[in-house]
Order: sequence, then structure tokens, then C-alpha cells
Amino acid sequence: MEIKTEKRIDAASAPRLDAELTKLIDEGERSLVVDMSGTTYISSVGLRAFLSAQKKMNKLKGSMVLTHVQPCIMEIFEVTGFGGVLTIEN
Amino acid sequence: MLKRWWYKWSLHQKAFFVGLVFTFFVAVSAALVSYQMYSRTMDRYYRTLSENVAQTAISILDAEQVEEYTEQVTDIYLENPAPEFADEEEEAAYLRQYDFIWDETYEQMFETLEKIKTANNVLSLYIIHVDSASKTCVYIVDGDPTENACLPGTWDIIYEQNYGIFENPEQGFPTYITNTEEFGWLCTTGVPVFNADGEVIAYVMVDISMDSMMRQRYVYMAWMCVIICGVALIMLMFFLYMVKVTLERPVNALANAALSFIEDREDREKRGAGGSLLEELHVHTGDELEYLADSMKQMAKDINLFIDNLAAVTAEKERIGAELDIATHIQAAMLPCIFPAFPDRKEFDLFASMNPAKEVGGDFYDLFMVDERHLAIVIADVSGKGVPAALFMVIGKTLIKDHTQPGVNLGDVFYSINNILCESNSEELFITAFEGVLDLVTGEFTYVNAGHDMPFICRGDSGFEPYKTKPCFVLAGMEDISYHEGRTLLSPGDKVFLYTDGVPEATNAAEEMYGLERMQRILNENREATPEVLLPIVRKDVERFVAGAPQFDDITMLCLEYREAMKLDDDSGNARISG
Repeated sequence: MEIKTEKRIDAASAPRLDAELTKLIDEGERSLVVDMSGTTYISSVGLRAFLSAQKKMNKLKGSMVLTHVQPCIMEIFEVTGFGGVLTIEN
Repeated sequence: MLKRWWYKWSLHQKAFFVGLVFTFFVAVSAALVSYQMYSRTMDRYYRTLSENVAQTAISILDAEQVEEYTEQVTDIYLENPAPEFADEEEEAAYLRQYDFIWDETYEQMFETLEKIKTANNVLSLYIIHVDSASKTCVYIVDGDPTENACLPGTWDIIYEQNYGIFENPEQGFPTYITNTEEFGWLCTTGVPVFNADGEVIAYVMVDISMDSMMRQRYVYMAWMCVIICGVALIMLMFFLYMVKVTLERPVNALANAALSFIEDREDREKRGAGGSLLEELHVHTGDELEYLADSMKQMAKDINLFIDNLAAVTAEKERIGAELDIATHIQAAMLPCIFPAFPDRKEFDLFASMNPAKEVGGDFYDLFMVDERHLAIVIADVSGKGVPAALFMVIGKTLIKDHTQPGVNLGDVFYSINNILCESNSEELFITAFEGVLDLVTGEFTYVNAGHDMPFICRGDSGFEPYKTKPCFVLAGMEDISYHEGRTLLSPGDKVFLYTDGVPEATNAAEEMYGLERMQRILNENREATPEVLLPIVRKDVERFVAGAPQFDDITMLCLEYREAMKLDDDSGNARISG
């Protein structure tokens, strides 16, 4: 299952991403691919949504892979240490 | 305020005019119809009466005698029909030609006619002969003893309306009504008299005066109008009364109750009584008005309920608002805000500031002495906003201060804190945090970075440069994460600038971000300034950049200047308070 993220994952759009990820995992999805090619900004609320999904996947022995991560987003992932927790493939 | 006399036409006036117009039309049509019926009946009565009189006369008279006298008159008349006379003498001379007719039998015929006439109260009863050639009629006998009688030989023209007689002599003169100055209203009928051969020889004519009947007709008409108008007026008054009782009073009562609804409500509330005048209104008209009144009562009840609920909700909101206000104050009080924070220490200078985006923010900073020679500075950002973030911030701030102990590795400090935070993190919040501890004696700066933005360090004259630290994972994100302690050496005069992402991510109306480049430039332009001066400059530059666009994130900054190395007490090897 592959989903695409929005241009800005901020306080306004993060709850939608969180709900979408939660719904997919609750429906039994165990192999998520998130295409982030369109995203140029992510706020801490967005990071929280990914972290929450990743923790659920870890418990369920599933996987969530982020692909096509833009350099500016990659930098945020590295600075916050999320790079070591999330699975990122470019 | 709505006034009662707002309307142009009251219901009463409208009802009055509608009733008046209605009454007028009903009265006029009733008068016309009854007049018509009365007239017809009377006309029919007179027609029957005149025909009966004529038939009676015919049945009594001897047709042979009538024929005989008719011939005698017409013998003379037809020699010179429709003669004109110059004067009365000439006329008298003409009439004298017929005097021979007056024999005994003629006298009998005359008397018979006179009797019938008197008995039936008829104006005149006479026999004429019609001459189709001259379109005239000539009198044979007139049962009138007065001097107004038409003597034999007297002639008259036939009205045009009776010309049918020339083609159809048997039909006679159907009853017709005339109104002349001479005779007034007359009802005239002519019935033909037949001889033995079945030929029409003459006509028995009957004139009945209708003057008295006509007078009666006008009187009848006048009485009709008076009675109908009287009845109509009584009906109109009754109608208006009904309108007043069934429409005006309930409507006005409803309107007044609705108009004073709020006043009334407040008044009753003061007296401690519930409800309103509207709810106690009694409208029992049994029609749409009662339905309207019931609906308005229901509405009043609903509004009262709604207002009470609203008042409760508003009070609750005010309470929450007040508590949030207190929370903001408590939060602000938790951050060290008196500067200089350590006025008796001349080895360093410190300044920090936080501008929250919402009432209670998720950013925080802290500065405290770990022991005599170690100063700790902390800056952190809780993900999310509002009350949950603020509560989490309190926990984080307390844990960091508690766990930072002399001689304990900062990596271990964060490891413990992270695990504690993970235990009580049902909201799945996390904290990015940077903590640094400066050894005031050696200038050694140890630090740990849990996913926070890299600090900027200004060394000597080289200006502020981003200091790349090994980034570790955020706090409270996941259990058993290891954090690495890093270290660097600061010399007197060096500055450390810490900030949260609210600074580089401050956005203007064109959706551009302030960015690290602009921040670095403004820092370097003012690198000689003391922390207390530097932070407001950066803050102003950010404000100038966003130019009034709404602030989405807390803006928090901290600046530490290492001024001079702390002197050690040689004997004990311990630090001593200088100055």
C-alpha cells in the first residue's frame, strides 16, 4: 500500500495524515510505503504522526518505508534523530 | 424598539372596509333582484288583469252588433281617413257626422262597457277598428261617460311597436306599458273581436292605470333599501366585533407578550419566578391563531431553556478561560525571567526569552547552577500546542533539572529522562531538547542534543557558526534510546546561541521562512552585543520579516556569553564564589 503526503505537513494537515495512517494500520496494512516527494515542510506534529505509526508497526512486526524524501525534510529527520528511528529509502 | 402603530392599516380598519364593500354589493344586488322580481310579478298581474277584462267584454258583447256599428263608423271614416282639423269647430262638425249611431242598442253596448270598466277599476275600456292603409285606428265605442270619452269617429295613430297588427290581425295588441304625460303609466291590451266568418272586425282595448302601482313600487324600493342597509349595518357591526374578539385581541396580546419577552423575563428572574408572560398567554380561539399562540409559547419555552443553557455554557467557558489565563501565568513564572539571573557571577552573562504563539506554549528554556563551577542551560520544544504540550513541558523541565547532577554523563541523564517520559506519554507527544553544561573553570562545554536544532557558537572574532552536533532521537519518542554526550572547549568571550524552530520557521505572508541564513546574518551583525541586547535585536528582525503575519509557533531564544574563567581556591581544590 502506497500513500502520498501533502505539500506541507503542519498543524492543519497533520491530523489528516495521522488519521489516514492509523486507519490503514487498523485495517491490517503491514507494509506501508509513504511517498514524500511532494512534501517540502514538516512540523513537529507531522513528525509525531510518523512516530506514532512507526511505533504501531514495530509492535505489529510490520514496516513503514518513507521514499523520495526531499533534502530539506531529510535534514529535519537527521536533526531530530528521526532518521535513526524511521525507515527511509531514497 | 418596535412601535405598535407601525402598521399603516390595522386589522380593524381592513375588516371595516372589506365589510363595507361587501355589504354595499350585497345590499345593491339584493335590492336589484327583489325590485326585478316585484316588477315582474306586478307586470304579469296587470297583463293578466287587462286580458281578462278584455275577454270578459268580448264574451258579453254581441259580435254582430259590434260588426254592425263598426261598419257604420268605418263607412264614414274610410272616406277620409286620419282627417286633420284646423280648429275645434271643424272637429265638432266632423264628429257630428257620427251622431246617428247613438241608438238604443249602441247605448246598451256603451253601458255594458261602462259597467265592466267600473267593476274592474279600469281606466278605460273601448272598441276600435284598425285601418292598415292609414296606419290609424278609429274609435267605435268608448265606455266612458265623462267628457274625456273618445266619441265614435275619433281616430288615433298606431304606435310603431304595434305594427305587427297589420300582418297578423289575430294576435291583437299584446300587453304593453307606456308612460306619457297625458295618461301617466298605462298598461294597454287589445283583444280581437271576430265575426261569424272568423274575420277580425275590431279590437276591445283595455287601459289600466299603473300610476298608483308605480308609486308603490318606489316606496317598496325605498323600504327595501332601508331594511337591507339596516340589516347590513347590524351584520357589519357583528362582523367587526367578531374580528375584534377572534383576531385583534389575541394578535395584540401575542404581539405585546412577544415584544416585552426579554424585559418580562428579566423582570421575573429578578423576582425569582420562572417562565414569561408569553408562556402564560391564554388564546383559545380553536383556529390557526391558537396554533400560532401555542407555537410561540413553545418557542418561548425553548428560548428560555436555550438562554439558561447558554448562560451555563458561557459561565463554563469563562471559567476555562480564566483557568487558562492562570495556566499561562504559572507557565511564565516557571521560566527564569529575572535577568541577570546570577548577578553575583561575573564569569558569564545570560539572557533568554520566550514568546508563546498560543495562550500556553510548548517551548521552554532553563538555566541553573549544577554546582559551584558548572552552569547548565536547557532549551526544548514540545511537539504540539496548548494545554497538553504545556503540561508535558512542565514534566520535562522538572525531570531535566532533577537529573542533571554533578559528574553525571549528560547522555545518561537524557537516557533516564527519556524512559520516564515514555512511561507517561499517552498523548504520544515528544520533546526536542538541547542541554549544555559549562565548566566555568576550564571552559569545557559538554552537551547532549535530543533532536533539537543545532546551536550557534561564536568563537573570538570568527562570528557565529552553526555547531554540528551528533543528533540523537527526540525525548519521549521511544524507549531505551541512547544519547551521546558531546564536548567542546569555549574560551572567554565566546557565545553560545540556542533557539527553537519558531525562529527559522517564522513565516511571512508570502509563505517564506525566516531561515537560518537570515538568523546567522543578524547574529553576526551584532556579535559584539551582550546577550541582553542581542536577543531583542533578533526578535525585532524576525518581527520585521513576518510583517504582521500570524505567529504559528513559540519563539524561544537563549544566549550565553562565557566572560572569564573562574578562579579556583588552591587549598581545597573546590570552586569558590568569586566576587
